[in-house]
Amino acid sequence: MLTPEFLKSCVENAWMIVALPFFAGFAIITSFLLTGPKLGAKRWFKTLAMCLSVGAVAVGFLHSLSILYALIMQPALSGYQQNFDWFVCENFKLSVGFLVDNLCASMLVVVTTISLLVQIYTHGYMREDPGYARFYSYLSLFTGSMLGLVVSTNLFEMYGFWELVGVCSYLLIGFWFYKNSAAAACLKAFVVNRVGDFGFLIGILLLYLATKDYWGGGTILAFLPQLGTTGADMASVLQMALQDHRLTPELAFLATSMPLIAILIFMGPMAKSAQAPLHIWLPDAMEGPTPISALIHAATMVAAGVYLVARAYPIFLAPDGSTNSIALSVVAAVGAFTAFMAATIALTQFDIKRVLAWSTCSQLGYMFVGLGVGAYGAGMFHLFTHAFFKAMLFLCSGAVIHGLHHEQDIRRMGGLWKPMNITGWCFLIGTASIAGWPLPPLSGFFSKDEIVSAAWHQSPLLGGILILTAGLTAFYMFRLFFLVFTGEYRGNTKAHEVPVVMWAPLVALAVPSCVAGFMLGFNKSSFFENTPAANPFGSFIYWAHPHQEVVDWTMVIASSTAGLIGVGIAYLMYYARTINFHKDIVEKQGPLYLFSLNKWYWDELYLGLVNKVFLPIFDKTWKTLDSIFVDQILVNGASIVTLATGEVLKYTQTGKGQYYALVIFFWVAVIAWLAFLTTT
Amino acid sequence: MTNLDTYLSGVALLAPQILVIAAILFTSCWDLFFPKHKQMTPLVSILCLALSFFALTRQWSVNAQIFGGLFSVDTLTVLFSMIAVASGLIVVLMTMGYEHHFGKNRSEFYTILLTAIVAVMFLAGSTDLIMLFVALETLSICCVLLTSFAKKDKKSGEASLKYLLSTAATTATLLYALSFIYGFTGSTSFDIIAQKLQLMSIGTGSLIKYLIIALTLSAIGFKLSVVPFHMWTPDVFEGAPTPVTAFLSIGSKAGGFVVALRFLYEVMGSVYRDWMVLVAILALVSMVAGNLIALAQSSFKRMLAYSSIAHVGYMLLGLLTFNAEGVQSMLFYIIVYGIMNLGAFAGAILFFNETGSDRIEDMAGLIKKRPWLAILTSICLLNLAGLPVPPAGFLAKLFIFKAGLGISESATLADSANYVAQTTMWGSFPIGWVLVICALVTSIPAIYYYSKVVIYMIVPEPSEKVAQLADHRKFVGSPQEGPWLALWLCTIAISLAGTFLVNPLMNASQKAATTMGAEQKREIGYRGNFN
Repeated sequence: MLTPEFLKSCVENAWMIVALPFFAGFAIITSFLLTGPKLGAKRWFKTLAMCLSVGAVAVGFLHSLSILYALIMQPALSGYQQNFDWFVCENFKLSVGFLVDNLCASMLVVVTTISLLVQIYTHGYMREDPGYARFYSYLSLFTGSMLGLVVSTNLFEMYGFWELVGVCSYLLIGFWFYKNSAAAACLKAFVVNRVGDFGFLIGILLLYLATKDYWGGGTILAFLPQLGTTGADMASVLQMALQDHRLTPELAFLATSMPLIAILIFMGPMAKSAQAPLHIWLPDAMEGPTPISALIHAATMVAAGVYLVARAYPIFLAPDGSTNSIALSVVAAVGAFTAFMAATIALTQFDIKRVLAWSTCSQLGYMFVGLGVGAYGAGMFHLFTHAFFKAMLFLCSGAVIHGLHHEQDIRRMGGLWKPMNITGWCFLIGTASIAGWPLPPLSGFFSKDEIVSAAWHQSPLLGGILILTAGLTAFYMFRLFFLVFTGEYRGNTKAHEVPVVMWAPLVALAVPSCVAGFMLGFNKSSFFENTPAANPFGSFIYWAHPHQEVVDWTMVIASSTAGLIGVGIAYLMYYARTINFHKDIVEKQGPLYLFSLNKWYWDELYLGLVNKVFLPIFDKTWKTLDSIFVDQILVNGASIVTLATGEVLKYTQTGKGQYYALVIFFWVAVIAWLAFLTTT
Repeated sequence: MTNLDTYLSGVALLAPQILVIAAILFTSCWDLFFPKHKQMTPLVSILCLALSFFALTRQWSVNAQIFGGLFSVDTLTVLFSMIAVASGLIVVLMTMGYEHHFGKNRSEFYTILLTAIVAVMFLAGSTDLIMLFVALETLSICCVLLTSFAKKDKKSGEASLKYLLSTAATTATLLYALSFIYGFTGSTSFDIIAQKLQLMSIGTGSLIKYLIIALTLSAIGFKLSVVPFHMWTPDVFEGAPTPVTAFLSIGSKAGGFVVALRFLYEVMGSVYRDWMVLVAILALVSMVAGNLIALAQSSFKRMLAYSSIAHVGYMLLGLLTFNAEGVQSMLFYIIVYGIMNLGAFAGAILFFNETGSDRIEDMAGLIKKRPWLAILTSICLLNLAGLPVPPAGFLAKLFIFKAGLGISESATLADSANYVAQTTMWGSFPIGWVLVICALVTSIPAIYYYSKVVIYMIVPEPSEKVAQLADHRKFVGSPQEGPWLALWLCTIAISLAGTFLVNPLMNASQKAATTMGAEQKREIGYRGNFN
């Protein structure tokens, strides 16, 4: 069955992976539009909607696996793309198309796997919800948009899908729009993302303006050259533009400054991947149903920012192609800051999903540090492993919430290990993985350590922050685990294990969380023989040269020790309860504790700025403008014109038809006469 | 080839027109013999128009002159004929849901409407003064008749009379101009007139030259309802039955544009470039006046009427660039504007039939009772405003503004023979920038008054009229499926035009723009009798 021809056709029809979920989503929405909202309550329609969505993504999952297999078997297929003109005006041409290369194939597998499992899980989680079918339609639309983003061939197309996933995220965060908190959260997500996307769009436009003469009729802003043709690609075009001084390599407030463009483009990922200072929307986004948190706000959409930086990596590189560039330093700095900040905030939160959300922020910071310090493969690898274990952790939290009848506060949980044994095991695997548990090495251990050691070699400060953060991560994740699954049960309702349709996806995700790291991230020669070599994943995805480094055992031991210390403290505080100082801290309400509990006061800062500074200034300016320009000139002016015309019309419309003819003759004479006078 | 052969091949090229004429004959006779089966007339009209449209697509690449140069079949002709036939088809659909206002004489309406369409089709290809005049007059007379078709409505009668008088006046001015031109050149054929004018090439301005230009402009400006020849527009748009208004807004305007392209651009373009200054001023005035007056209207149809004046102002930008890119953008704009405007009128008909009102305030809260009507009309209106939902109207504006920026350039790049004349006319004045900036600024009130209607339909509580609407549509006297279909077709077309069809439409426009005047046409038949 897997003949070379079949595999080739899989690659050449990769667009179907994107089209099917879109079709499913639109089919469900259209049936709603045609028959009205009552349809959503019908049992057969629910089943149909579920089968359509799950079927579409299941086919996509198999297709993605075939593509991945095809690229492994026939490396020559990598880089296959097809572009269609969407919009042509003179020499400006927008294309849409799809691109299949190794990076993209890996992402496709991640997105379809998690999407498939989450959609199956949704059947259990949302079964009682009146919006069941609507939920599936949004899920399908999101999956389609996300897959479209992954296979985009150029920045413009990616921007389009980028906005689409943003819209889907908005719709899904606000899925329970009748809850005020959910309505506010989706608005917040939308507004914050607008800030980032605005920078992104300006960055794209500046990049286009600087490089528009170099695309040579090919796809504009394409990531890669087309197979078999001489289309231009981003890396070579940027080089040409730099040589011709259409782009300047210095950071300056100039439209041609390449680092400036890169940083503007990076604003998009900052918002989408919740990096400081545009991270504030992600914790609030937890108001959405838990499957959404797992799919969008942990595994796929928030990782789109990382994917964009990886795709558009040439923009971020220094002119000589090295990774020592201003833009990448910014990426690394933002990532490290966010990683640390989010970890400190997660220490004190009480909502099970918000702890996980902050840890997502923090882990995304790790990925950006990885990309920023040049450990391209490591950053992407962490995306890959994180997607699995974080999606699983969220689904576990969903199971807990489901099992406890919508209780989210960890202070009212505890002792769930017995009643929810399967969930507990999965949660433990996820927790150990994200904490970088060294023995046995789970997937997080490999990817995180690679980033940490790369960061250390770039700058000990970065590495130090990351090691410290690793300790904090281990602490708060095990705090979460111990508080939820061990000790006495502190809630009122009776906990029960979730149905098989919900725990099966957990188990399915636990498998890659355990083994993906070892299978793809382990490299014998690098670990034991002291020779630089990339791990299999890294050498698979990076088209130019994989990041190669000897594994630094000191780093491995340092970060593992930090992790173990974190676990140890959490154990002593929340399991054995031999140390009790957390009680003192909480009751004392010290400034550091409050600082963490209140999320570093970012929300207050922004609200203060908006309410006290921006809005008053805007209000004042607007009122002045309004009273002078709009009222005086536009409105009054328009009414004067109207009145005046009315007067003239009244005069001519005296019922005497000859005026109509007269006006025409009059103007003919006037025009001819005036034209004659002005030219002679 | 024998004379008979050339004649027959010429007739063969007229197949689309002949199909419509067949429909005219059918509609005028059918009711006499089978008065009980009145519903056949619109159906046969639609069928013939569709066949004619198909026949036009077959002529896409033809480039020929027939009947001794009276009539040209080239891509421009075909494109404008297609616009006329397509808009005619939509208007017939709309009329199917409006017939009950016409009393007994329903089929005559179709006869006259189809005659007007065929007049536009002949106008599109006319390359001879006589042909031009006959076609234009046929169109005008049909439009007058159509305007008065709601016989019992006094407004309709008044509008018709005003239209008749104005038409008569512009007929006089046009004939005056044509007789001057014939006097100068001794020919009625466009080609020969162009050549002769080139030879005579009046470099400096003379009063007679400006008189000719002004007279011609008055006739074209009247059809396009350009300020100051727009006086008839609001009254006629408001008084005429709504399907007629819809036809006047695009079908008859297409006729005006094709005359502008053939006569101003092709014939007078090479020599009498001075019309460009005048047209620029008229365009400027139209944009400002049209938009500002539309701002204050409370009647939906009147608002569309004034805004159409402004839209013509924008379209003239494309003519003024005097190059293929500008004409291309203009054609795209005409097509897109036609679709969205027809959609808006279909919405107006559906609303009027149920409530008997076309006041904007009365449309408040329509979405609660007729969600689809409100949504589809909103899409058309937002496109008219130039907002990108989907981006057809937005792209049309974008293209034409972009082309408009090149106006001064093309004037200074004019061929060396006219270079001196050009620089004295334009000077170093950046007319293109002025026009485009004015167009951009005047787009702001346009966004306001279009979206005001949308907001009315969607946001507030239902008005009295809307609140009285039944939950299900009642029979209002004629089947409403026609206008509904028209509205759906327009909305779908506009969605496609902004997304998948941008390129095909632009390519088609480009082909039409470049075939115009550029190459010598293959002649079928002989010429000589007329010279």
